[in-house]
Order: sequence, then structure tokens, then C-alpha cells
Amino acid sequence: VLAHQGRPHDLGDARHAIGRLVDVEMATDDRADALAQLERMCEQLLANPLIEDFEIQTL
Amino acid sequence: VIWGVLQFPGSCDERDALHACSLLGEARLVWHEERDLSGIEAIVIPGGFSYGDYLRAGAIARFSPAMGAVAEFAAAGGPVLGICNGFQVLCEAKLLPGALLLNEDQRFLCRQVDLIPENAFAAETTPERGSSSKRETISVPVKHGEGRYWAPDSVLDAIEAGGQVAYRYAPGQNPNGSARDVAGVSNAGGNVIGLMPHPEHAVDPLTGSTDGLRVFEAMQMVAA
Repeated sequence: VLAHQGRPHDLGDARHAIGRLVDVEMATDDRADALAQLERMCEQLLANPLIEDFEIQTL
Repeated sequence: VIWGVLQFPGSCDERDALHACSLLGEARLVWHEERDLSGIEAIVIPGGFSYGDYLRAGAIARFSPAMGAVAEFAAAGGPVLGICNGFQVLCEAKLLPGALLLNEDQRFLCRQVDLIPENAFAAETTPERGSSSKRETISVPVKHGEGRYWAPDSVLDAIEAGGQVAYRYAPGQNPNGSARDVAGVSNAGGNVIGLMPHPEHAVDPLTGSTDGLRVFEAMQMVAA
């Protein structure tokens, strides 16, 4: 949701977003399983999909 | 009616809720680790900052054993009233539509507001109903930082059409930028109600309004 953090302010053409970064360390070699677990964590707790988008990156 | 008032670490309005319920029946606190709601006929999820409101207000409470039991209680048609943080918990638990966002002006607010009853449940809470001195609004306080009701337009259209908007803020009194002035909603079944304002703080003449007690009386009618 745009302006999740309050009223939208006009910043011209500048793209702006306020969000949250969550580092998760998982002790597993099963990448697919880890991604599936992360997806579930994001959908059920770490983000509220109604108002927030999430993106999973692996290192 | 026998009431259960949930208490999470970080709840802060459970005593007033318990007091309001006690004026109408028996009431007891339900600790967040409890799963047994046997004997309880109506549930109140009170205001506060459950689990410190980490991540998002109400996000963690939905995973508590007590909320698991409340979800089953609600699915069976049991009456559930969520107030403030309780409303946020019910939205996060998907027992109510929508979400509560940070207030439009990004500040915590605390003030008395007038609410317009919109649906059948709320109509039962109109003051002096049936008498010539009938008022069209009820007066209760709000106090919150994240009380801006939001849902996609399609959901707002659907809940308006389905009689799920329980209360709106009176014209000019929307304190937080809530979509379509929505102050409270119900689920499709009408047995789960969420309110951002605090009826439990308006049950004694000492606090200037006793309109809030009518909300608890209306919950009793849902329970009956």
C-alpha cells in the first residue's frame, strides 16, 4: 500500500519506499525447501500480503 | 453471559474490558497460553500492544494458543469483540477484512469521537433506542497510533454492500484517515466485531459517556 507509513508526500519523480529487511540464517542444504519455508514465513508473519510486498533474496 | 477477556503480554485495556463485562455478567481473563474456552459465551480481545506490537500491530498474537481457540470459537458462531489492538489482531488473523495502518498524521492520538451506527449490530447500540430522545451517534474515546482502517476498494465495496461496516466516524471526526470513515467492521457472519474506538472506556458516568456499555449489551444479543 502506498504511504503505508502515513500520508503520501510529494517527492516529485523520486521513487521512495520504507520497508524492513529481515536476515534469516537457515541450517539446510535443501535450497528449494528453504525457499518454501521462507515464502511461508513471509506470507504468514513477516509481511501482511494485503498491505505489504515482499521479496526473498538468497546469498 | 459468561465473558472471556484475552490477555497477552503487552495488553493494557483488559481490566477496563473485564469491568465492562462484569457489569453485565460473569467475566474472567484468558491468558494467551490458554486454549480451553469451555464455559465462555463471548470473547473480548482488548486493546494494548500484544507482544510489543513487533513487526506489525497484532501480527504475533494471532499465533498464540488462545487465538487458535478463538478462531475455532468464532468459526462456530461465537461472539468475538476486538477493540483497538484486538481489532488489529482479528485483521491479522484474517477473521476480519482489511488492515489498520499508521495514522495519517503519523502521531498517536487520544480523543472522544462520535460514531454513527451503520449495520444491524450497531443499530442495537444507538442510545435511548425507541425513545423520543434517541440520538443517532454514540460517544466513545479513541487512542491509537495505528488505527487507519484500510482495505482495497473492492473489499470496501463488498463490506458496505454486505452490512459489514459496523460504525463510521461522524462527519468531520475521522481522526486517522480511515478509508470511508470506517471505525468498525464485522465478519460476514456478524459474530466477529472489530472496533478501533474503546467502548470499554465509556461505561461509567465518571468518564463522561456510558454509550460503550451498549456495545457490550449488543454482544450479549449476538451470544443469545
